[in-house]
Amino acid sequence: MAETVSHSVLIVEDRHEIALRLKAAIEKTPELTVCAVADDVDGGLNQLFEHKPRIVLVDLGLPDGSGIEVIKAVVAANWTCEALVVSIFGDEARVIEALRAGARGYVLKSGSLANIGNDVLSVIEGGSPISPQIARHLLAMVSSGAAGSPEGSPLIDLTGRETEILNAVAKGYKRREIGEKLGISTGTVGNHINNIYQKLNVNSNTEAIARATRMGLL
Amino acid sequence: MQNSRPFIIVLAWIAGLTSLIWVLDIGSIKPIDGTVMLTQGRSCETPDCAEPVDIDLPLHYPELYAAGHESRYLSFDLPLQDVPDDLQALYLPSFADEVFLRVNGIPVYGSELMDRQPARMWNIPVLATIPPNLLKVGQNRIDVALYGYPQEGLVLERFHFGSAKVLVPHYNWRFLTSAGMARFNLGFMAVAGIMLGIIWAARRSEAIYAVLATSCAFACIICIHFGFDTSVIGYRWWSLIWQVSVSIYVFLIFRFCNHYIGEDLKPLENVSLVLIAAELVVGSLVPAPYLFDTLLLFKLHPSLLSFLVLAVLLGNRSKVDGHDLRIFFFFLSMASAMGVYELYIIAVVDPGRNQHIFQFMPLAMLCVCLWLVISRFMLSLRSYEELTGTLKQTIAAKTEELRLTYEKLGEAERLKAINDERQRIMLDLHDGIGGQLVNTLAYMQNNGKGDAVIRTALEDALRDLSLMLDSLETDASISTLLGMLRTRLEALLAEHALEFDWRIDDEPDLPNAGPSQTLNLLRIVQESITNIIKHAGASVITVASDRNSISISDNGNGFDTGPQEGRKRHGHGLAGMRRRAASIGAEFDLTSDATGTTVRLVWR
Repeated sequence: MAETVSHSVLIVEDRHEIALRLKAAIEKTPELTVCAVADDVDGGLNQLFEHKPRIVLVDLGLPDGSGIEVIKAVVAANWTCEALVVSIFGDEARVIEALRAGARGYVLKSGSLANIGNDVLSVIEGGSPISPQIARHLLAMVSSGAAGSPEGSPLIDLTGRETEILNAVAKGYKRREIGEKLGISTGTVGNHINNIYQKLNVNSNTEAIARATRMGLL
Repeated sequence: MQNSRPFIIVLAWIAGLTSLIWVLDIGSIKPIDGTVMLTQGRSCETPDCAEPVDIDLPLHYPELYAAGHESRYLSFDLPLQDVPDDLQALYLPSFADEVFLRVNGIPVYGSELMDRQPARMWNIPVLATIPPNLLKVGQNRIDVALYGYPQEGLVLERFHFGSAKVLVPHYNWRFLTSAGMARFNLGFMAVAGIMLGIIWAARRSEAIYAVLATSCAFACIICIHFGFDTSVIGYRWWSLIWQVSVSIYVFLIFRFCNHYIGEDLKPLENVSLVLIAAELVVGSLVPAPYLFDTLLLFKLHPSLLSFLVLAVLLGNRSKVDGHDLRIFFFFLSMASAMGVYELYIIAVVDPGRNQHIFQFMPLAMLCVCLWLVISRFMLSLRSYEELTGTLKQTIAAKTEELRLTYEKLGEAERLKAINDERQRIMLDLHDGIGGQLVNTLAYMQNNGKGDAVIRTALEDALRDLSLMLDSLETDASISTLLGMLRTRLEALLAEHALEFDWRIDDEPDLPNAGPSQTLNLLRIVQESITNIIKHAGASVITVASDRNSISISDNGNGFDTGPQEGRKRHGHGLAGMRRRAASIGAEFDLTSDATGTTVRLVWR
């Protein structure tokens, strides 16, 4: 199986040592190979189209611009490709912007990178990592919409269950724990989170971003 | 009418009013001081006074069923002791229809009829000035030729001779209250009619204005009859025109009143219309000698109709505003009474009253109209003022709202500037220091260099930086920050075979929440957790919170919480935690035994 399925990963990270650590961590996972490492937006875009990777790990603060540009190129790519933000703390508001641009989630680059391979694999399998702070942001978007924005419609429209799950995520609960609490499987929790991402993505038009920016969410 | 009571009341009321007018004896001719009132004379067969017969004034020649006109000649003697120096005058308050006056054979007023139609001066007094040189000492002779229409009868009331200076004011007053009043009302009615017409043109949906404008037009015809000589039109046609005008006028007032009250009396209106049509047809066809009496008979219709108007008004008084009703009823009944009185004067040969007062009728009606217009105007003025008041209030409220919005906007801009600056610093910390720390750690791991102390120090610094950045988040919620803390520590816990039992429920509500309070709180929690990782030998860390507390406990082997032992094991950490807890207004509570240790922060 490891022989038949090997996913290529592109790393776009300007700090050399971190890039090396990421590469090493990724390559510990047999199903993943690192096809290239780029240290700026230009290089990242070139490598993206040259190698057509399955996964792109991208830092947001790059010397010649924002990793968001790379994420947009990934979304527009004509092959199956997904972008993950590599973040030091996983909490910055920029991550939300990256998610709106189409990133599937983020991976932490601080601390242990032991799990990074699994994180990448879970994204390939359709999962979406989410942090408490991102969940809080999403909830704020829902409530700020509902609290009578002049446009009337919430920025994103969540079901009761989705709101419940986001609330639990925002308090630091893990998927497994949420599943136990709500009496549903961990996979179902993951599906709900995927749906939330999808909604965020669907609504990720210029207008919504403009509104969110105006409201100080982004 | 289901109820005839209002009608009876109205009849009595009108009878009372008419009697009152009768008793007042308006315009009765009395002697004027310093002048001579002529009351006795001779009636003659010819202008030169052949076959004189003594008569007394007032003189009412009988009404005859005859067409054309008739002439009557009268002669009066005026004895004078001496000839006055100033201008003299003859003042004839009332007569019918035209006079031709001569003094001592010299014409002083009018002319011989010849083949003219007699002028219709029955409501216009005459003042004929007489130069003193026409007069002589002793007997003077005054010849009066009366020309008129036999159907209405010729009339000469008592008249005066004297100084013009004395007689002019009396003449003026008489003129003002008869033809003058009619002419005045003609102007008024014309203006009112035009105004109502304009209002109707602007508000086509309100037919009531058209009714009123039309009624004004017919009132104008009535005014002309009472104010001017109409002989040019011819006796027959003018009589028909003005008499039918009275009927139509009353009909229109009836319609207006019904509309105003909201009473539907269509059948009665139709009957009235039929009567008007009949009056027109019969009036046009009836033989000339019988015209006047025939038309007079038809006046029963407007009379009854005017009573009906009042009765309807009275019967529906609950539907009309009390003020409006009183004004309406009073003036309408005055008009009605004047009509009845006029009918009496016209119909009776010698009524004993010589002044017509029907020319006042349009004035009464005008009062009603004006009242209506003014009352509507006041009403709209009032609603306009109310509207303006409301608008002003709204404007004031909106202005205040706008001011608050501006204030908020200013505040928002200020906050945004602060926020932008904070974001910039956070970004610098994050990408700059954070990036350096991570990169350095990565370098050490990549190359296997550096010792454990440096590594731990770097990792602690990184975690502390995380906490600082978290607590600076604008909309930080403590439960979310605890969640972030968990996310970052999870890998570290896994390395030490530990796991969290996470029990964060209600949002912790710090008494004085702010970035530094939050940071202190998180530092206590983080330090408690790292202490457990380092020292406790536990397998589960339970983190629980509610509104007023946070607790971190483990299932490790515990330690002696006494100051000595505690210090040995935790260095200055415990004291630091206590200090931090005190600074955020929380109680720091540490318990430990063989089954584990619990750190509890409680606040109110």
